[in-house]
Amino acid sequence: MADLVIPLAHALVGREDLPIPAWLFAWGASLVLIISFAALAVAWRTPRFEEDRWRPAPGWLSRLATNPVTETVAGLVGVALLAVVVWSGLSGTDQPNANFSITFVFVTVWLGMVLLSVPLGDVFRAFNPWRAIARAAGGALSLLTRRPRPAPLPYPEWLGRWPAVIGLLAFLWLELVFPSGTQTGGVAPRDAALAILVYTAITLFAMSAFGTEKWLERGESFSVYFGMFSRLAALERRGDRLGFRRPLAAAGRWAQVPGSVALVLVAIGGTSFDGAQEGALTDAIKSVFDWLTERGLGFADALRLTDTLFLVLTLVAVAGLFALGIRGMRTVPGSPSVERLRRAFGHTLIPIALAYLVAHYFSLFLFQEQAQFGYLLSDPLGDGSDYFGTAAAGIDYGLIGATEVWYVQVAGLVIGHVAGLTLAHDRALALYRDPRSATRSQYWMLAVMIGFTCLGLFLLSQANT
Amino acid sequence: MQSRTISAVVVVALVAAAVVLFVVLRDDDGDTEQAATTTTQEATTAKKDKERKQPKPEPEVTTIVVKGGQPVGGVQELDYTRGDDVRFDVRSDVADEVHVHGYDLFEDVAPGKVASFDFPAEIDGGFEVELETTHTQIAGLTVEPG
Repeated sequence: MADLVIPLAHALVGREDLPIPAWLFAWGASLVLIISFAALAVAWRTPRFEEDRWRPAPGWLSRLATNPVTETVAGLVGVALLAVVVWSGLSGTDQPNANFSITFVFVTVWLGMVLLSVPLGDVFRAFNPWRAIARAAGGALSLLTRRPRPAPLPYPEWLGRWPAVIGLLAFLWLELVFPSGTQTGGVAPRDAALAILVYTAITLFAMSAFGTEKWLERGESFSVYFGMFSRLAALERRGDRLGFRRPLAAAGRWAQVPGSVALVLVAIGGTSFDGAQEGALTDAIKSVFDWLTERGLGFADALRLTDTLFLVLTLVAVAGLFALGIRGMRTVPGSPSVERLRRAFGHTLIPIALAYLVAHYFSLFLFQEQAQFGYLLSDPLGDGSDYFGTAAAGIDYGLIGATEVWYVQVAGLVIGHVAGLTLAHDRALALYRDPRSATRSQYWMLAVMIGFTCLGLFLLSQANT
Repeated sequence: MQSRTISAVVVVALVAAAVVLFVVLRDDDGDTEQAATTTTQEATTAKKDKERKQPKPEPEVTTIVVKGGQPVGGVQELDYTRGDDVRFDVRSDVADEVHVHGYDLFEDVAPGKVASFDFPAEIDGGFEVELETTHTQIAGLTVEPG
């Protein structure tokens, strides 16, 4: 039994990243320290990111992006893709890597939408299938009954973004923990399709109860998650106008809503856990798993229980690091309450969450998108069909060398670190008024940011060892 | 104005420091690197370089033995550098297909039928070698960038 191999929870990973070499780790960490202390030295003395300075884009651009035809087409595309996901999941092959649904949901949308939202803003809103369904259903209902729809229930403000946090946790559990111990090591397409159907039912019900827009802002996990990253973008739609704003600045007010800080911490923690289970935590996971199986627990149950435990521990560790920084800042004279500090600085972690995602999933995205637009496009069910003549197109794993992957990973973490520091410093200036207290408070946030970035580098250095 | 000058100086110093660090810390690919800080890792790299220049000896063939559907001695490690010849055999007491991920190579294996692999290591990364029908990993192939 000692030889028993624990399958990786990744049916999609054909090529694993190599651990970053020691010299690159040292260089990345040194760079982060240098940047951090230089930032304190050259930092500006008046806040610059408190106003996002939105100004309308040229009229033709707005009309192109926001006219009813574009909106309807985008909505229809979203609904059609949701239908394809459910159809391929339910009636396609049970091999995760050969079924359209798994790559589409966990790679193309889950990672791709983040990568689109950061430069382009809230793209997901246009394609959101649940929004499209709710709007179409609402319109049809008013036409049929010829009566105005009843007013939605008031959404309890204390609930904030917590429903989205619960949804995000459920998604991460389905992605990272549930497949453990299954034969393929990946989410079964059928399970994914059923989960999406359940989620669709919950979402449509909640939208009809609290109003479509309210639920999209607070409870619909995908909208809230992608919306969080879109706050970094320089593009934003207001009413019918598209406009440009100062990059990063719109993130400033994001964390004011309850649950937001938890959301960004869960995003960081989920990626951290995924990275750690492939390296830093492998041995620890194995020993707990062995301990549980020796006590008679079945293989899959023991593995799921172990992974759940370590996912929770990772989340606690990530939240603890942030809490430590906040507690530290509280010791600076003139500080607001801990709760206010949490909400004032929560958004500074969004770039860190993005950096973690890029560092951990960049290569997977690059390889798996070749499958998405190659064989999965033409053969979504994995039954040998060839709709578009691309069924034979495989993945070129030699597309990018290991060295280039390392550079992207480390560059991502360092850039995320700089963006996080920028937001934190700016907020401190706005919060403390007196630049000296602001700087003192920033030693603490600096420690948090260095901690997160070095943790990210450490996870990369331990990956797949 | 003055604080701007200071900022500019600090930024330039920062960039310079980063470049210097990068150059100093970076593993030298060339053969000039013979500093006093020769670590064991560098020594092995140098050895590998030497071996590559000599007329190629027949590379050692690793054999992975599968008993009862599991690799004997746990998941075997196959470590190579890009450009090497990857050569290994798989013997098994159950019939299955051996799949090398990433390179996407398949060979049948059965009692009495050895699956032999011999291919150039041209893609960097970590790759699973598994028994296809049971999805059991039997080896991990690592190809370091050259």
